[in-house]
Amino acid sequence: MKLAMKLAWRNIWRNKRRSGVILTAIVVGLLGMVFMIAIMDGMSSDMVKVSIENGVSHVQIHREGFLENMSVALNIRNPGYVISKIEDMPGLKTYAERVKVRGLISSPENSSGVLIWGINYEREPKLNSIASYKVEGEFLSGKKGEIFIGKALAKKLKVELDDKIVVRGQGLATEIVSAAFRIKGIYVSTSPEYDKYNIFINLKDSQNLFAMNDRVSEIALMADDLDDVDSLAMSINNEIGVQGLKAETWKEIIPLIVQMVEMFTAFNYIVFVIVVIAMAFGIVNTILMSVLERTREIGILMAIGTKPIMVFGMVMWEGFFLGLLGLVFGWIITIFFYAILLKTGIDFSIWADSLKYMGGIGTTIYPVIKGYNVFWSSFSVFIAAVLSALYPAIKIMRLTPVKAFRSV
Amino acid sequence: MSGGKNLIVTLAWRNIWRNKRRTIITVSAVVFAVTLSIFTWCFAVGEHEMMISNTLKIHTGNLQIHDLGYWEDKTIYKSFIPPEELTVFLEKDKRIGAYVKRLNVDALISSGSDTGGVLLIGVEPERELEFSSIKKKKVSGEYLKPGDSKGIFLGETLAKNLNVKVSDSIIVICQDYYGAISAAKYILTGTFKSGSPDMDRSMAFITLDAAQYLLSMDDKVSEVAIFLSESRSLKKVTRDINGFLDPEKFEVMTWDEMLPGLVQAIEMDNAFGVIFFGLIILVVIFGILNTILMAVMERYREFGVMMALGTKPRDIVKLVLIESAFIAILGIIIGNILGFGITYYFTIVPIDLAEYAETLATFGMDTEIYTKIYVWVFVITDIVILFSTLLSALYPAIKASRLKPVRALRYV
Repeated sequence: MKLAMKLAWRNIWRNKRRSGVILTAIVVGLLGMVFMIAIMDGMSSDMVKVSIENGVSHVQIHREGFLENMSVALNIRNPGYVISKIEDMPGLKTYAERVKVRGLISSPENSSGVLIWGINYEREPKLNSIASYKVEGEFLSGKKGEIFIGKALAKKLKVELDDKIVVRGQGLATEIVSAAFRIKGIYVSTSPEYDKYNIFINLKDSQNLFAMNDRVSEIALMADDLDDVDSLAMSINNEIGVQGLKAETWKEIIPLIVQMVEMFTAFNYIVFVIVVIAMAFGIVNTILMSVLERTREIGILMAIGTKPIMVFGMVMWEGFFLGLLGLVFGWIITIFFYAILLKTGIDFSIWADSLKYMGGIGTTIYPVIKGYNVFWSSFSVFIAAVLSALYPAIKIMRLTPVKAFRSV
Repeated sequence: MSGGKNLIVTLAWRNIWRNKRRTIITVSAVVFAVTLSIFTWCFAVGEHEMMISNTLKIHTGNLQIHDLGYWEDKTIYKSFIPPEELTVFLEKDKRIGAYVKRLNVDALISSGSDTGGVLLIGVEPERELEFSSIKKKKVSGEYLKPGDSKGIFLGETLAKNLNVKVSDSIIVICQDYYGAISAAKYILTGTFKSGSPDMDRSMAFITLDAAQYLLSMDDKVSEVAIFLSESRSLKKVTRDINGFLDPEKFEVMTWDEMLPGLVQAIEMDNAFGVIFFGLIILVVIFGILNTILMAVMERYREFGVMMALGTKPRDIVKLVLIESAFIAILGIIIGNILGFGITYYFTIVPIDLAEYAETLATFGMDTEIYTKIYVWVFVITDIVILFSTLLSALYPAIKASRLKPVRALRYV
C-alpha cells in the first residue's frame, strides 16, 4: 500500500497545472461554503445574543400563563421568598426582578402603546444591556418619578430630556391608573422598534402605580454559561414549581428566534450538499483524465504483475491527496480571511431595515465558524474527492494489459 | 484546411465525442448548475412575489395618500378630508382595484381586567372587504359590519392579552382632536391572525364613523390606501395622482417606501442568492476549465499538425471555443428541460415548510410554497452559463493557438 501511496502523490505533481486548477476549485468551494455558513451562523448567534441581552435573559420565572397575556393579575406574590430559594443555586450568575405591564404613554403631542418595565436600577444592568444604550441624560438612579425611554419614542412624542410624560395602565385592582414621570435618560438600542415599545421606570414606582405592593411580574436570571441554562431552569422548577410559578428558558420565551436559527441551519446543510456536488463534477473529470492518459503506463504496471487492487488503491490515494491538499490550502486561506473579518466584520448596513426582522441585530455581522461548519465542510470536500476517485479507480482496475496496450 | 466555417463546426462536434465519458461528465456539471439555478431562482422570485402580495393585501395596499408629513409623524393632527378630485379619480379609474379610507390613532384598550396600548384603526368595512384579505385571516367571530358603530375587531394576540372573547365589551381610551380624554365602549365582533406578530399584537379595528366620532374629527382621515388591479401600473397611477394633488399638502407613498424592511429583506435574500449562485458557477467553471485544458493539451500534436498544414491560430481558437460552446449548449438544453420539469412540478405540488410556520409568517409567507415559471430566469441563467463556459475555454484556446508547430510535434 505504501508504494501505491507514493505513486499517487507523485502522480498528482506530474501535471502541476491540472492539479493546480482543480485545487483552486476545491479551495474556492471550501472558502465560499465555510463563509456563507459562517455569516448565517454569525447572524444566528447575534440574534440570540441580542435578544438575551435585551432583557430576555437566560431564564425567566413567572406565574404560569403570564407569557401568554402578560396580565398584571398573574404575578409573583412573594419575590423575596423565591429569591431566597434560588439565590445560592449552582450555575446562577445574577438575577433581577421586574414588573411588566402594557400601557399607554402620552405627551401633550401624541401617545403610544408601550411595555412598561419596572426595574431594579442596580441589578437590572447586570443582565440587561439597556443602561449601556444610553445616549442622553442618565440611567435610572432609584429616585421617584424617573423614566428612561427610547429615542424613537421620544421623537414620536416630541419630548426631550426632563420633559414630563404621563404613563397609563391598568393596576392590580383592574382600575386604570396613571402617573407623571420626568425623562431621566434616552436610549438607542439595536432596533428602533424596540426603542419605540419599551420604557423603563423604577421598580418601586411601578409597584406603587399598579398597586402591586411588593409583587413583581417576573424574575429574570442569567446562568454562568449558556450550557447551564436547561439544568438551572429544571432545578428552579423543582424548587418552586408547586407554587404555580414556572421557570422558562430563553428558548421557550422567544420561540420565533429559535425557529429562525433552525431554519438558517437547515439551509446550511443544503449549502454543503450543493457545493459538494458541484465540486465533485470537476474532481471526477480531473482524476478520470489523469488516469485515462496513463492507460498504457498502468497496462505496463499490470503486465509486470501489479495486482488490480493496487492500481485501484493508487487512484483512490490520488483522490485522497487531492482532497487533503484542497483542505490544507483551503483552510489556510479561510483562516487568513477569518482573522481579518473577525476584526472588521462585514457591513450589512444597506440592509439595516430588514435586519430588524431578525431580532434587531447590529448592522455589522461577524462571521462565526462553528464546529459543525468545520466538520461538515471538511468532511464533504473530502468525501467529494474520495468518491470522485471511485469511478475512475474501478474503471482502471478492470483494465487488462492487452487492452491497455492497444489504447493510444 | 482553408478554414471553412462549417468545417470547424463539424470538427468541433466530432472532437467532443472523441471522449464520450469526459464530455458527458462535463455536460452533467453544466446541467447541474443550470437546473439548480433555474429552480432556486424561480423559487426565490415566486416566494418574494408572494411575500409582497400577501403583505400588501393584508393592510398596506400598493400605495397610500396621507397628509404631508404623516408618515414621519403619525398624529391625528396630520389628517385630511379626501379632496373631491381624488375620490372621483379613484372611483372612475379602471386601474384602481379598490380603495379605503382609514383613521389611525394610538389608544389604550381595556377589557376591565387587562389593558394594553393599541393602534386603533377606523375603517369602512364594506370597502375594506373588497380591499384586503383580513376577512380570510379571521379566526373567530365576524368581521365588522357596515354601520356597526359599536363593533371592534382585534388581533388574536391582542384579544388573548386582554382575555376577551367574542361579544365581550371593551373600553378604548384616547386623546381626541382637541386634546381631551375620550373613551367609548365597544363589543368584540371577532379576531384575526395575520401572521405578522406586530399586527396581531397591536391592531384594533372599529368603523370609520365610530373612530371619527370618538376623536371628534368629522370626515377627516389619516390615510387613503389604494389597491391596484394590476401591480404593474403602480408607477403610472402614482404619477397621475401626483399630477392633480397639491404636493404642499399631500404625500403619495408607494408600498416600497412604506415597507422598507420588506424591500430590504428581499434584497438581502437576492444578494445571498447571487453570492451562492456565483460560488456554484465558479466551482463548476473551474472543473470545466480543467477538462477543456486537458482536452486541449492531449491534442498538442494534432494542433501542431493542423498548423503545419496551414490552419491559422485564429481557427484553432475558434475550434476550441466552439467545442466548449457545444458542451455548454448541450448542458443548457438538458438543464432547461430538467429545470422546467422540476419547477413545473412544484407549481402543482407545493413545498411544505410548515415546520418553520412562525418564521415564515413574520415575513408574510405561507407555509405551502408554490413555485412559478419565469421565462427571464431561464434566459439569464442560460446566458450567464454560456458566457462563463466560453470564458473558461478562452485560456486553453489561446494557449493552443500560440503553439509553434515544431514544438508541438515534438510534444508527446
